[in-house]
Amino acid sequence: MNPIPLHVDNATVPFFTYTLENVTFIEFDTSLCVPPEPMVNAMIALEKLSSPHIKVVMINHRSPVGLLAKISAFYDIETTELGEGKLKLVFSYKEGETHKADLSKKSCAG
Amino acid sequence: MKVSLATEMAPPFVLVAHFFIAAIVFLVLSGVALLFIVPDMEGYFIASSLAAFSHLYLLGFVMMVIFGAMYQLLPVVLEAPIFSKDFAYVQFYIYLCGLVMIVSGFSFSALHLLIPYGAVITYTSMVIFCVNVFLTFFRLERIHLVGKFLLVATLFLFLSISLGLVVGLHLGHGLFEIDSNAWIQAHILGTLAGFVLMVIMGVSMVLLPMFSLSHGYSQKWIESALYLHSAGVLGAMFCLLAGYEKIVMLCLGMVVGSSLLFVIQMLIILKHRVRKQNDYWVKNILFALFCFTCNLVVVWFDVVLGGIGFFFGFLLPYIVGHIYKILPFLIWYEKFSPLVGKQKVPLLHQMIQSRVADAQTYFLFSAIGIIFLAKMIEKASLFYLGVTLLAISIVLVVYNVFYTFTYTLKESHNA
Repeated sequence: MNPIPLHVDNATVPFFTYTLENVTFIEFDTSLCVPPEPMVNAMIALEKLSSPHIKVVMINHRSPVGLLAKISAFYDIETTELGEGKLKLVFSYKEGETHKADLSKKSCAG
Repeated sequence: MKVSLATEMAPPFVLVAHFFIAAIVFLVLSGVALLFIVPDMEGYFIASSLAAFSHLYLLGFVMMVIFGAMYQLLPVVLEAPIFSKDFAYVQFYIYLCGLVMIVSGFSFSALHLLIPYGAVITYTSMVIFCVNVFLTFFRLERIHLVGKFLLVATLFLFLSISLGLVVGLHLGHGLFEIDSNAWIQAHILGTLAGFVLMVIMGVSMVLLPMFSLSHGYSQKWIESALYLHSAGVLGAMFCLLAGYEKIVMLCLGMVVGSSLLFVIQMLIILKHRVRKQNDYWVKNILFALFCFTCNLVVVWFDVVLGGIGFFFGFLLPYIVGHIYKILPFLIWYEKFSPLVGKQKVPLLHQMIQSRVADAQTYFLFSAIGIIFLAKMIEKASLFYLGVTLLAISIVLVVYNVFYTFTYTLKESHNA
C-alpha cells in the first residue's frame, strides 16, 4: 500500500488513494475538523464511490451521526475504533442501493 | 451523547435568526443604557434604573439568545422536533412587546404603570415557551443528561416568572400582600441560577465537546451538579419566600458548590480537547469561567459587583464566544450546504473576522477589569472608561455578526 495524494475539487482536507486487492481506496482524515467539514468532505468522497471496486475511508473524531442518518441505508459501513477517540469508517458500494443515494441534498450535519 | 448543531428536526433558521438578531439589537441598547446607570451603581440594588438595565440586558440579550439556542438545540439534543414552531414565532413577538413595556416602565417614571402590563405580556410569552418545551419533552420516552438540565431549567423559568408576575402586580397595583424584597430575590435567583445557569450548564455539555473535539472524559462532575444545583436553587427560593433566612445561606452554599462542579467539568472537557489552538472562542470561555469562579466569592460581599461580574464577566464572553461558533454554522448550513461538492464553500472560521473578534475579546477583558476596579475604588471616571471599552467591544461583536449574516461566496473566493 502506497498512498498517493488525490486532488479533489472543493475538499477541505488532503485526500489520498491507494489500491489493495484490486480495490481502490479513497481516504481522508477529518479527525481535527469541526462540523460541517467532516460532512462536506464525506459527501464529496461518496460521490466518487461508484462501483464495488472503490471504497471510501473516513477518519473522524467521532461517529458522524448526522451524515450516517442520511446515507447509511445506501452503503455498507464498517466502523473501527482507532484509539484516542478516533473512528475509522469504511464505506463500501451496496448493490442495488448506492446508486439511489441523493448526495445533492447536503441537509445533514455530521 | 453525540450530537451536531443541526438535524432535519431543527427549526428553520429564520426562526432562530429572529431571536439572535433581536438579541444583538438589545445588546447594543444595553451598552448605551449602561452609560446612564453609573450614578445608581452605588445605590440600592433594586433601584428602578438598575431594574430597567438588568431587564434590558437579561431579557433582551441573554434570554433572547437562550430562547433562540433552545429552539435550535432542543430538537438536536432530544432527537425530536419542537412541539410547535408557530408557538415560537408567537412567543417572540409577544415577548418583544412585553419587554419594551417593562423596560420603558422601569426607565421612565411617567410610564411605570406599564410595568405590570408588560409583566403580564412577558409572562404570557414565557408561558408559551415553557408549554412548548414541556410538550416537546412530554413525547419522549427517555431523557438524557442535557435534556434533564433543560427541562429543570424550564421548570425554574416557569416558577420564577410566576413570582415576577406577582411582584409586578404588587408593585403596580398593590395586589397581593407579599414581602416584595424576598420575592424579588427569589425571582432573580430562580431566573439567573435556576434558568439561565442551568441552560448554560446543559448546553455547554453539547457545545464545548463539539467545538473543542473533546472525548473520553468523565461526566460525574456535571451529573452531581444537576442534582445539587436543582436542590440548592429550589431550597433557596422556598426559604426566601418562607422567611427561613439561615437555611437560605445553606442552599446558596449548595448553588456555589454545584457551580464549582460545573466549572471543573468545563475545564476537564477543555483539557481533553483535540484542537489545541486558543482562538477567540477558547479565550472567551476561559475568561468567562474565571470571572464566574471569582464571582462566586464576590457576590457574597457586594451584590452589585457580583451582578456586574455575572452579567459582563461571565454571561457576555460565554455567549459571545459561542455566537462566534454557532452563528456561522447556522448561516453556513442555510446558505452554503446545498453547494457542497458543486463549488468551493467557505469554512466556518472564514465567516468571522478573526482579528476583529480577537480585538473585541481584549476590549471586553479590559473593560471588565476596569469596571471591577472602578466599582471597588468607587471612581466614576474609571467606570466610564470601562463602560466605553465595553461599548466598543459590543460594536465589534455587532460588526462580526453583520459580517457573518452578509457573508457571500465572493468573500470566500477572495479569502
